[in-house]
Amino acid sequence: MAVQLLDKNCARTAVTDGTAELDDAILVTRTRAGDERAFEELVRRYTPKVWSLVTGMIRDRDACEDVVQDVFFKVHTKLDLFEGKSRFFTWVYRIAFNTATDWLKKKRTDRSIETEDFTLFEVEAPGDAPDAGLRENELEGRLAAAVAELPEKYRDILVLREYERLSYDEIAEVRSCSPGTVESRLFRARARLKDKLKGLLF
Amino acid sequence: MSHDEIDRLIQAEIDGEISAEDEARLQQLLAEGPEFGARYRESRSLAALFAAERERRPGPPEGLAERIAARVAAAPAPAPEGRLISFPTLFRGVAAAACLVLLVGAGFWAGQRSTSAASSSFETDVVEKVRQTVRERDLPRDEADRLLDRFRLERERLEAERQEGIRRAAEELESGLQGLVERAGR
Repeated sequence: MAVQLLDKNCARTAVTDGTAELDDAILVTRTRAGDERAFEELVRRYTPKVWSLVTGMIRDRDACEDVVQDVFFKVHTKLDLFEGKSRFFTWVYRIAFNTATDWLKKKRTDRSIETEDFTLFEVEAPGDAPDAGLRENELEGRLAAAVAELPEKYRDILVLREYERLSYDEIAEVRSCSPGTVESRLFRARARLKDKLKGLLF
Repeated sequence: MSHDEIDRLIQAEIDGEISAEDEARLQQLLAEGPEFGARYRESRSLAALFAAERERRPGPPEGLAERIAARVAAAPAPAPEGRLISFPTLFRGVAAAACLVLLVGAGFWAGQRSTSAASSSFETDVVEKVRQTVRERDLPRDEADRLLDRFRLERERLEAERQEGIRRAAEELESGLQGLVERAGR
């Protein structure tokens, strides 16, 4: 609370050193007080995570960079709306998730989108890979295709769990559902994947 | 125990979401039934596949965080949110007038909110169109970003002007209503 009483100049001075060690909550408070360095630290801290989530949903790398930029613009402009009821990073994830989803919906509306646009990650061609590499690539390709074929509500949860390593509670916060729903959708998603990948898993 | 039940226990164990009690139960089941072991290995194999994929995924492009921070810093500060018009003391004891004010205030608020939402949607469309053109025509992204920044700045300025106009109109309304209340109280 005391930090919130700092005026802009105080906050700016205080954050000149050791910004990287500060809690998210303090950085948020200082950003609200007008401290740009605090927001820079938040961007630096969360760009890899937001990038990972967005590239998990959108294949086009150029578009990913634009979407990630949009995410942080929204985080910056909506920061006053962050009430601190949820953790800051789940709030950022929610904005990132919704921004990427909006982008996909818009693209889907703009033109008849091909399945590959929803592929969760790029799959490299096996090329001259040795046998082990070939098998590995085949597995990855089959996994990518199987994940892409999942219904959206299952795929969303799966991406947050398998690629972002969020806990059930964190996923529930991001997706505004109960942990029980998360558990159940994950279970169904994985059951479908196992079925699709039958013979390749052991 | 059904396959679904054992699979749910396995999933919870792999995700680190299992209780101590269920963990003990799972270990007992795995020790008792070889078919459970096969199911466990299958789930572990799927988890390993995702782990390998996580390792392979490239991180963000070099300097992306710095570019984002610089652009956000260069962007104009967002206009203050439109405030509800409230006259907490003015109409104390004059219930009918207060209801009228609330209605007027709600009307302004709803108008501002819907206009603001439409404006935001319009900006999203414009930004997307510009970026699409940049991608399709392979135009210099930095220059296009600067154009977009100027566009945002101008939009913010106009939005602030509009809000100021509404605020002045609301003040006139408040003043007029105050006159009405005073005349009615005489």
